[in-house]
Amino acid sequence: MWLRHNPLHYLLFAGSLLSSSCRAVFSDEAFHTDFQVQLFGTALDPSSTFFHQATAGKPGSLLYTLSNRLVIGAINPKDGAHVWRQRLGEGIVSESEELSKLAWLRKSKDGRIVSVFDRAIALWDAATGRAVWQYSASGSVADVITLEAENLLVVALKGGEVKAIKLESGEIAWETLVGEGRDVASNFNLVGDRLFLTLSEPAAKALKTVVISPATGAQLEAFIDGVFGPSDAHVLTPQLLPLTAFRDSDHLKLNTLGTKHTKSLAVDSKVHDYRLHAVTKDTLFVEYWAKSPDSTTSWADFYKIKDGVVTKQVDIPYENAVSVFSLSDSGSGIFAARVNRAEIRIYDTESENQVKAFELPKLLPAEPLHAVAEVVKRKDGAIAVRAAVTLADGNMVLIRNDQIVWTRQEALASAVAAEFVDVHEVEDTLEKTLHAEEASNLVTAYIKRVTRHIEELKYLPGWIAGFQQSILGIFGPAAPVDASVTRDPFGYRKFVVFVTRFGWVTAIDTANRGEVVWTISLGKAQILEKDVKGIFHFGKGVILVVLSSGDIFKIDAITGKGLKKTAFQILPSASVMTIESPTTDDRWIIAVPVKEGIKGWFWPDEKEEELTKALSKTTLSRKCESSSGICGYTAKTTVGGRLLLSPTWSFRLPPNQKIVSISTRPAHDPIASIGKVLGDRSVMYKYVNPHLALLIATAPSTSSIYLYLLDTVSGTVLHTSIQTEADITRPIVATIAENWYVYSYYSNSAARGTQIVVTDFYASATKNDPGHLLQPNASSYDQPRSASPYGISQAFIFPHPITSLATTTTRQGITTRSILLSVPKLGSLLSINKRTLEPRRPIGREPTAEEKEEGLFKYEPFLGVDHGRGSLSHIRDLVGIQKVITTPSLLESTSIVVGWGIDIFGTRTSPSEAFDVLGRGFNKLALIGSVLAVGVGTLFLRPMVRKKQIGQRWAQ
Amino acid sequence: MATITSILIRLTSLLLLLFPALISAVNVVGSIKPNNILQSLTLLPPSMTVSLSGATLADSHTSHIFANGAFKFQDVKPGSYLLEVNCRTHLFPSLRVDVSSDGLVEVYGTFRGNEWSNKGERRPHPIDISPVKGSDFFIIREGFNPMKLLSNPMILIAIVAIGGMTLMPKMVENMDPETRAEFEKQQQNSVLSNAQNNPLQGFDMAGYLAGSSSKKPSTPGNGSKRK
Repeated sequence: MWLRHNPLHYLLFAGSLLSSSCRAVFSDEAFHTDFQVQLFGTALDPSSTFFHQATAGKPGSLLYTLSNRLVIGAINPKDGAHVWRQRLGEGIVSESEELSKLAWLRKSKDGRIVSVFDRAIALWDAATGRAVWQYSASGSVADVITLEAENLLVVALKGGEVKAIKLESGEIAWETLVGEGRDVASNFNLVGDRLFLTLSEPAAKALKTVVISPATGAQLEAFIDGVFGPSDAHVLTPQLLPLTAFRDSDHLKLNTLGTKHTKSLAVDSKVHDYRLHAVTKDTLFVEYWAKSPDSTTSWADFYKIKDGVVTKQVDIPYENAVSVFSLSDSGSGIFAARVNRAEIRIYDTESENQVKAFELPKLLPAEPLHAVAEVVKRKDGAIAVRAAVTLADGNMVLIRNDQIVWTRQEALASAVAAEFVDVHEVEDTLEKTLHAEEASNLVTAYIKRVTRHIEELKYLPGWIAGFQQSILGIFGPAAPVDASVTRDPFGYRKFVVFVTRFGWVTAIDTANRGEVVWTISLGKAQILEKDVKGIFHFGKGVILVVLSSGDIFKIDAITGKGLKKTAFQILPSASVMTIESPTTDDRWIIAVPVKEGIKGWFWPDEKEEELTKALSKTTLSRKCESSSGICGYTAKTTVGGRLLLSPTWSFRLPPNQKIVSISTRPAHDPIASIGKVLGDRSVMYKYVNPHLALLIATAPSTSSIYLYLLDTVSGTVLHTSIQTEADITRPIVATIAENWYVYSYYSNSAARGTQIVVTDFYASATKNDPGHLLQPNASSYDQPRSASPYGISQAFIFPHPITSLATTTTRQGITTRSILLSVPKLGSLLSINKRTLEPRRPIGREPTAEEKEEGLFKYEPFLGVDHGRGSLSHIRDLVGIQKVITTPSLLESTSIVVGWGIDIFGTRTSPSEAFDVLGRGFNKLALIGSVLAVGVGTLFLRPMVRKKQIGQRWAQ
Repeated sequence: MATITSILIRLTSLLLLLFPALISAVNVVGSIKPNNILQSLTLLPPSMTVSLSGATLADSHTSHIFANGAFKFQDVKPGSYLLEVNCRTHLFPSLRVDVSSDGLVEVYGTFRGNEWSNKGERRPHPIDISPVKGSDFFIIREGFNPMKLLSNPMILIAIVAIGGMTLMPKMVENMDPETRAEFEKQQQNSVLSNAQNNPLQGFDMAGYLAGSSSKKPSTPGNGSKRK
């Protein structure tokens, strides 16, 4: 019977099902209420960033880049807008230096560019970003070269295999194996029509080059270039040079290809690294930089290559500042551009003196990491330069002569932590002033009020101007107003504070299209995800950034001013949390060390009595010492900002299980209704417990997922469930709120694919039974062990892998929740109403009238998503959204959502429709028009009716 | 003799190194075909991919869509795979791809939400796949539309009634005296019978509209025409 089903029917059914429960985006709100910061990430390597013609034969070039997040793409150099992007892999934030050996981007022929990431090679259309072909090699790729004459892309694998791929079709033209698999290939060079491949042969301690025929792949000749010791390394050599370069600890050796001639350049022992540049085959440019704790030095040399002999030509002088070089040849001579924080200087191949210097109007925000520059000498001798500079704060700027044309906030693509800051918290609200007036005596209250009114007069001109605007707004859509200057009565304006891996803290404004509000350096060269203990709210408009090193940065989140930096002797693995005083506004952060028997810390080290009071009501919990479970502690303050910890409970996993994640209910998670009213007017009471923690563990040996719901005060296991036949290599994500949790995993069972499982918890399996909920002094401490909640589950099949789950949150919790799913394969942020993910949906039958009244509809195992209507990001292409965070606005209907990872996407969503605010669809003109029409109609009809009545009287 | 065997061994090892793909894995290829839902391949977003999901993440493949709509998965190991088109703008059917150890590729339709063993019809191997539906991203807000208002049945009834009210006296005037008398009589009767049944009869709507405060109910009995 099932076989007769048409897949189209399924898809359409799923679509219609979800369009009823998913709220799509209104066409007039899209692109107005949401924003997207389209990012690439920080440019990885100077050789993978270049200006290149987008379409062969046409003027106008784009800036191409490969980032540390493995995104390639094109940027318009005029305004910094992105043209296209593609992801090479599911980019993990890893060390840039390692990544730059695995991934690179090169120019190819006919408006194409070629990308390499480990084993994958792809050719892309430079103008549109469409793939031309992809090829997956059997091993890591060592180098690629485009042979224009033969129309081939030649690929060398690390193992010595060489393959030629036809540029047009992606088919293999020829392949050969160099060195019987024992040698390590490193670099191609093309000299005339001879293709050289450099290999190192570890067994023979030799560096050798093999000449390959471009047309057939035949190995024509082999040379031994020199001794290649175990400490030696190959140096990436530009492919157009007739040289191959390698290094030992204090020499740079340049071998002229096809000869035994090797020039050895002594390199100062202070030199940290060097880079070879070339734009023509007869000039070599070597850039050196030396880093020591107190100073950084950089310099460079020009070398001339003539008949295979390398001679030094120009020595560009030392400088005690970080500067980076870029070599360019735009048809008017070879120039090197030297960029530092203050200026760009241009050198030519003739002298060691600069030919031109452009001083920037102000210092760049950080030191440059690397640059690509184009220098043009006009006919009248004037020199112009444009340079794309990657800075140490992770951002990219484009400088034209002495002006900064644009800045791209690429560091945000490398964010490691993010948190909302409420701008309203700090503004003195009217409510508060009124309360203050009420509290004082009559006379002072009167004086206060009058002065307040006089003060408010200053808003009058603005209000009148706004009034005019709102009248004009009646006759057509209101002109878009700059959100940064208007008031924000609905609380849509939040700052999102990011900590980036470059050691900076940056805040963006959700009401102003994600523009950067402030940015501040933490003075650390690099911060990874494990280095950040958290971003904590610390009173009104103040945030704390706590690092594993023990540094605590107190930052005013509104202005971005660093208020205080302090440190406590925190152990890297300690758990950090905030604790609030139940009576006053005081807050502390607490660090619980991972080792048993060691005292904890608290900060600030003041008001200990208040803290003791606050601590007496809480149980602290964290991962256990062996990190195979959760342990609970009670704490007492002692002198010197230390805490005495005494263990109260522990939950340990069996040895074959590993923790995947621990989720707790969000800090702001109000439950508006403690029960659920059923169709027959009986009530299912929700299991309400603010101390829930969902621990997800996997057992690799049995491919199972274990879910434990714990009470973090008593340590009781409230609920356990197991999923067998799961693929634990794919992401397992969960979100927990109110009295339910939702998780997603990949199942290899009969119902294969990504599954979403929802579990709701009720106080009791029977109706009208509130359990312990309504007892006068119910507490987690004295709950009997048997008082475990009643859980109901349902699982759904979902068509795409989900990398992140989140729940909307509103001010009072009255609005229905939506589950937000980040689906990277679609590049979308989808939203599913909790009413759809309802475990009480009837299975295998139509709902009864009572169930319909409750809003239940028939269970369908396939939760297809209408990509359009279920999508909060609608037509936008989101790249790499990894985490989704939500916060309430001042309107009950609306929750503010921000997704981050690579791109930053922000929007606001109303899961139960915007019931408390007039939307853009409210037509003031129609309302006024219909009132007027009724009035006119009455005036018009009145004499007619009167005449008729009189006529009737006469007729009687 | 020994040299020859060593060369032979070397050759075979070389061959094995070069062609490991031929022994254990096959390519799965296909292409996206335009249809009346997808007029042109250029309408597809460049970032869209096709994925072939196996039992573990390591066995899974992803391919971009090339300019001619083609996609290709290299070196697919034997196993049972789920082929999905990851596209935001169009909905494509999912397929089941079975690769056997002798390199045979079988493609079937699949029904999500049913057992994996529940296969659909068999499809040819270079897979041709076309979208079944386009995505609507937005709800369009319904503004004020006079035509829509006029097409509302209630409004239509009202217009017909008003038209009848204005046209009827003229029609009656044009009737020949006999039928006219008959009609008036009939109308009298019907109005009378209506009046008896109408519970709202006491409410003087016309008077209310005219602003008169007369409480005395008018008798509609005598017809609408002056004599």
